[in-house]
Amino acid sequence: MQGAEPDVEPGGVLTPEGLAEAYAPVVYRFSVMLCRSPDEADDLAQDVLVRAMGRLDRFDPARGPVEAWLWQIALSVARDARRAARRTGGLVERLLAMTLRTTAPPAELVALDHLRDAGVMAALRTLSRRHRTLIALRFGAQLSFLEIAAITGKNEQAVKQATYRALAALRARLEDVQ
Amino acid sequence: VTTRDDAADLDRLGARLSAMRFPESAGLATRAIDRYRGRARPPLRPRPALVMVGLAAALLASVATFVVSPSARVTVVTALADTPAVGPFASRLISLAGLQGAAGRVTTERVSATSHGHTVTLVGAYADNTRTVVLLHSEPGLLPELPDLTDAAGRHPGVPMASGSGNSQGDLALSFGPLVNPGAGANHLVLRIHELRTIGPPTGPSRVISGDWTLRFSVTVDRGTAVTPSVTGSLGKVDVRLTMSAAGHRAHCLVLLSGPTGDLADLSYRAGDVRVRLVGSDGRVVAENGLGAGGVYTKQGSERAEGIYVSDLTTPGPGTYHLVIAWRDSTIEQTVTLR
Repeated sequence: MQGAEPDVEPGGVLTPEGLAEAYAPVVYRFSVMLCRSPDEADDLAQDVLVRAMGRLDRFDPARGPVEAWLWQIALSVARDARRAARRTGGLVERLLAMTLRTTAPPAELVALDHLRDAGVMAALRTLSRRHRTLIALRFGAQLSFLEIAAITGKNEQAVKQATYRALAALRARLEDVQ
Repeated sequence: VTTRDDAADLDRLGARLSAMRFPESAGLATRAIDRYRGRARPPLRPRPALVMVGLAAALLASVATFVVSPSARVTVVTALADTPAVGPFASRLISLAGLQGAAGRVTTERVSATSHGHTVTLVGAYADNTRTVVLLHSEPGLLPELPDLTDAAGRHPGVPMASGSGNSQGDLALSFGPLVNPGAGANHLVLRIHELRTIGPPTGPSRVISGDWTLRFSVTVDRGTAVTPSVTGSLGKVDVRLTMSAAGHRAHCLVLLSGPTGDLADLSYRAGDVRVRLVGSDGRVVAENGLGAGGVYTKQGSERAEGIYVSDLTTPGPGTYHLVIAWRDSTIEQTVTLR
């Protein structure tokens, strides 16, 4: 899994701030691939980090690496957020702007690359939540199939096959639009 | 069954996903730490999407009620392009707002309001029988959230569609619906803004700055812009409604789209490939452009989406033309008369 080496206190103890600093980028990657809007992703990523910081004192290294613990929290927070959204039932609040094109200066390669990524993200957001979750864990959180299997309670082969099916669905969406 | 080539193709797609970078996550740790420490508890985020649906829906409604009522009278207030204070961004903003044909009739009344250290300046305004447009300037990276426009009687000319380059330049054009029973002279209006939203890259997070920015100004309705009846049809699975307003050699097209989310996502990704053409009586293309500023909006989980785009054309002038909207193998064709 990607991520900076977390800061630890002199005694080798991971601090809440160190946890946030080290894992914020990869938590955001996970969130933005799972959620259907960037704002929702930012909310989720913040919630995951805040909950993890608040529960860091309960983390037991003897039970596994901090990453596995963190991603279990991430999945839990994501489930809670989804339930909350269902409770509010707000249809309009879950609107999203898939793209917002402005009249940008032409021929900016960086911008074009970003738009291409935006196109992939737009297609990704049309997938089912199950497919997005798998893609978010594999390519957002950058977990191995074995790690995903461990935190989801599935076997590795099943996770691998399901992830390829999710990728195939994404490719089909992209092919549809070409 | 997954073939070897198929698997390799999927691996490439996975690698593409893995290679994506999200620089907008840069401030995430700080925000999370602030929340954790309880030093600051900013709202998680604004709900711009909530605004956008209102904007889109209201705009759709207002466009649907456009009326063709050209008039010969033109009121020239002040030529925007002649005013040095707004000169640097005049052409860009006027283009974004689709006001090329009416640039000389945009007021340049300059009004500012400051709240919580942030200033919003109204640098121009325009109104005709289809729309009310305000041109704003704020700090780069800030956009007004839920702007509210009222006339002297407290009536609202609809909610706005925003177009602009606020993220980089701080310039913004807000297009509202037409004024309700406007007077022949100056119509006194009030634009109230209670929130500014920070914006970043397309996939970036945003936050809200609350305050009170009240801008009072006046505008005289321009009766010189003619509007064609809407052109409707389908491009593939996407339903299209195009309304064209024209003045002189400038035509401004407002394009409303509705269709399956995947098709709209595709179209938004390649909006420039949607071609809007005016064909003369001799069969020659006299004006052509793609879709410009705009966006596509969808409800989460919905199979349907809506889109709004603008496209501007430089035309030979008044006359009867064949209007063609083309995307891939689909076209919509209709005869239009520009006055």
